[in-house]
Amino acid sequence: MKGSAWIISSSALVIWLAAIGWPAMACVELIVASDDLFKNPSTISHSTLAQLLIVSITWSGMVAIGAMLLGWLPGRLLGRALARSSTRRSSGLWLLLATLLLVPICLPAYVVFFAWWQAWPADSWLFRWALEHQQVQTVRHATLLAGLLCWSWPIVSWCVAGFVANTPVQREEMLLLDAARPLTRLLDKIRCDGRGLLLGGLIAFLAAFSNTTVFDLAEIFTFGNELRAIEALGATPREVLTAAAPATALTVLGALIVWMLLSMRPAEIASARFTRDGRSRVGVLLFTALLWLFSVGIPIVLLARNMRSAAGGRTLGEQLSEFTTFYGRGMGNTMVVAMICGVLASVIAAGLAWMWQDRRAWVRSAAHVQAVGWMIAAAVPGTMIGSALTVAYNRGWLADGVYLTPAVLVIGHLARFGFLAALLGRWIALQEPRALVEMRAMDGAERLGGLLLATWPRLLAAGGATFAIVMTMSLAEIPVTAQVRPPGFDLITPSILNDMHYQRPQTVMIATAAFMGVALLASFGAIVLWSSARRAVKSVALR
Amino acid sequence: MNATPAFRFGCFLSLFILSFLLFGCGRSEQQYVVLYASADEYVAREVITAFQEETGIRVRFTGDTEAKKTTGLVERLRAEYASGKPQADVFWSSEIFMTLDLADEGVLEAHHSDTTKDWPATFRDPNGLWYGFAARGRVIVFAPGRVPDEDLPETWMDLSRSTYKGRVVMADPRFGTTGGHFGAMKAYWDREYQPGIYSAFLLGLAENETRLLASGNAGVVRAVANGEADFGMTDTDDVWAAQAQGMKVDLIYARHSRHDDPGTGTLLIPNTVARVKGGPNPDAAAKLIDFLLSERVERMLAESVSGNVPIRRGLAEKYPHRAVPNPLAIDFRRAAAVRVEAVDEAMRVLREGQRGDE
Repeated sequence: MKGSAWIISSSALVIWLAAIGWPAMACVELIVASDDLFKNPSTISHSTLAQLLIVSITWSGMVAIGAMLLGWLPGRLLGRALARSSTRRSSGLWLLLATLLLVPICLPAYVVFFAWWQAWPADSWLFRWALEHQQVQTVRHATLLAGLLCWSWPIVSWCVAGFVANTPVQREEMLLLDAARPLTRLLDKIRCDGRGLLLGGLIAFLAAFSNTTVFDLAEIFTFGNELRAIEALGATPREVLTAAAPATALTVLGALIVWMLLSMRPAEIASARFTRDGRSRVGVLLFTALLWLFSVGIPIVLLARNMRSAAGGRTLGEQLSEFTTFYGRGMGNTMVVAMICGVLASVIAAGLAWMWQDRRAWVRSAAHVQAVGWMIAAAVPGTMIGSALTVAYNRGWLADGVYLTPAVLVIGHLARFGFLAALLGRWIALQEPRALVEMRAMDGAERLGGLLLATWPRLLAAGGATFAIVMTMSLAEIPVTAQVRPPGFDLITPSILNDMHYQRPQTVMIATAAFMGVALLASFGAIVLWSSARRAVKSVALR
Repeated sequence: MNATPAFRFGCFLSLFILSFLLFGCGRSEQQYVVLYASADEYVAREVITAFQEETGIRVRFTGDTEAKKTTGLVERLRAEYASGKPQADVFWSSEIFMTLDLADEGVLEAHHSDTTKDWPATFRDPNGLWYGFAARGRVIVFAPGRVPDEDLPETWMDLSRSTYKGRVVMADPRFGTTGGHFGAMKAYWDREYQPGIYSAFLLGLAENETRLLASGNAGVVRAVANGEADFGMTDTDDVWAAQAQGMKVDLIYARHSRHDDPGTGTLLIPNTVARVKGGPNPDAAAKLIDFLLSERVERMLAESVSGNVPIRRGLAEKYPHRAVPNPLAIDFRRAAAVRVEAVDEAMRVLREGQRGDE
């Protein structure tokens, strides 16, 4: 990339070096030196690991399949709305739908589960029934599954929507005119939406697989829990990495499949001229509203109810005041760190997207290397990333400049979630119509100013989406946060987790309300930006 | 304003650089001390505030998550030690066994002062690497009214009797005090009785289908309070906290021997405080350690929701409801030395038992 446009790509590279390159080198150093550092090498039971791997895969598989089943129809609805958003018709519906469908993803999964879990306390009829029939664990597992599904179905919806929006609606109409049987039409829909469904299912699978917090709360021993226990008993980093190898391989494989699915260019651009409205659409709308109610609405009501019952005579104002005194700074710090992560993630996405659109092979290869690095980091256990960051940054001037500042948290969170930015960058690069890429080149987008001028709407939109997703993932991050947060730098996330363990729902409720507010704002902002950019880009593409 | 995209992009980046700088500049020149503490955040913050008010020294506090208990901070201390630049000055652990591991690994440094001069030998390292204070007991929790009196166990070994089949829960021994307790059982029984008793106890637990809970000692108390189990192995502070929340639970100070001889009763696990070797603020660290070992802090912890047992005899008498009858006479170092072995064996036996049941 000539001119000054290299600044964006270089920024992405610098972030990659800070979050992946340098810690990876330190990690190698740690692994080589580790055998002499720690006593108590632990006994690792490989049969137990295999058994727990099956448990984790089973749960993640159930979540993925359930999310695909639930998220498909809302995804089709969103996709149609998305396709029509380039016209003035129904853009209000698209905005509302898209915002609402982003909110559940933005809430930490453990918050949704916790809310549902609190719905059947020990004095409830359901608990009494479960206890009487010795089904408490079964009901708890069902609650966990419901909580994870409530959180994951919108992921599938978004993925399906991305593909549906690029499928001509005439295809369905032609099948109708041909008097095709419902089964034939259903199979055709599956054929059209298959990639989106698979993509969403895979992402839901990976997200559930890497989550340990909800499983701990539900008393389920998983592969992630076992890795943590191995570390707790003094295993060396080398032992932990070896034990984590199956999970790492699985995550990398999943990420590669996601990569391939994203890499397929859309064959056709959707036409928004003709769509069929009617009862089926109203039905899907109602179904989507119901799902949203279960995912966001009811959990909030349940938490509010518990908060009131746990208030002990204190007013809401008093509770808020207590919360602010105790956790206010932590809440603010957590938000700021998450926002910075979101912004830097959008820089990564933008930088990689430009690199992938470059005509020179070596630039594209450099982007590939970075993306692979992000994906491998996502597959490494969080505590390993924490240790690597300690070794990498707790030295010389880096200690005062990075390790003892919140910058280390930002770097750690990006190491965990930067792969999302890389994937979105890949999508941005490949989904942009070739004509636009050529026009951008002709517009002289080699200087930074020209590049930004030519790509501003798309950059803003993609950056907005990356910002929203990574920021909210960062808000809920636990393993790295717990290990590298600077002394004296309060954060709300570990406190929420502790309060869940100690059954203090008032803290969880207030923090959740704050999370929800941020999620709503971030979702709405991202959708508005995306929507306006999409209209601008599409009008150019169709002309 | 008609700003160019480049200008906007520049503003964007500048804002973030500024944010970073603001974070970095948030550190005042005021004297400070860095504390890593695994005690409950609610309790720890109260103590920290008192120290700051008394000395004017600012405490930079880092806590642990309940899920990882003390292990998260221990891993961090080890990693920082390995990187050659310790960042903590003082380590306040809610238990003792991992502190002993850190002492053996050379992560801690000796501390001596007037406060520690006459500290009880049981609760101190001979070289001053750590000091114990404000203990809690390992107890059996049960729900009064739901369990007949004749069913109440008197010793830990009782839990391996068939009477308790399917009625007992415990936390994952790889985290928290449960692992330390198992180490203490193995060390004590192997030495005071005969090798093999610990293994027999584990086999009994496995045959009784004792359930492991991933949610820790608080989860154990919750399971008993909810009626999912009749008995649970836990700590006194979790029972006091549950009672404060209105849960109907009580505790048994179970013995480690069939006979009620002195020194065979409940395992007391003290909080421990230690100075981190190479910590950046040694003077302030010394002040904080002495403060944590003061009578004032023991009183605060005894009156807190944790209800810790003061190790000062005179003070303990003022809190008779927290008193632990007949504490177990145990060498903590021996218990810590066999902890990992004991936990590994426990996990193997209990898991094999579970597989066998399936």
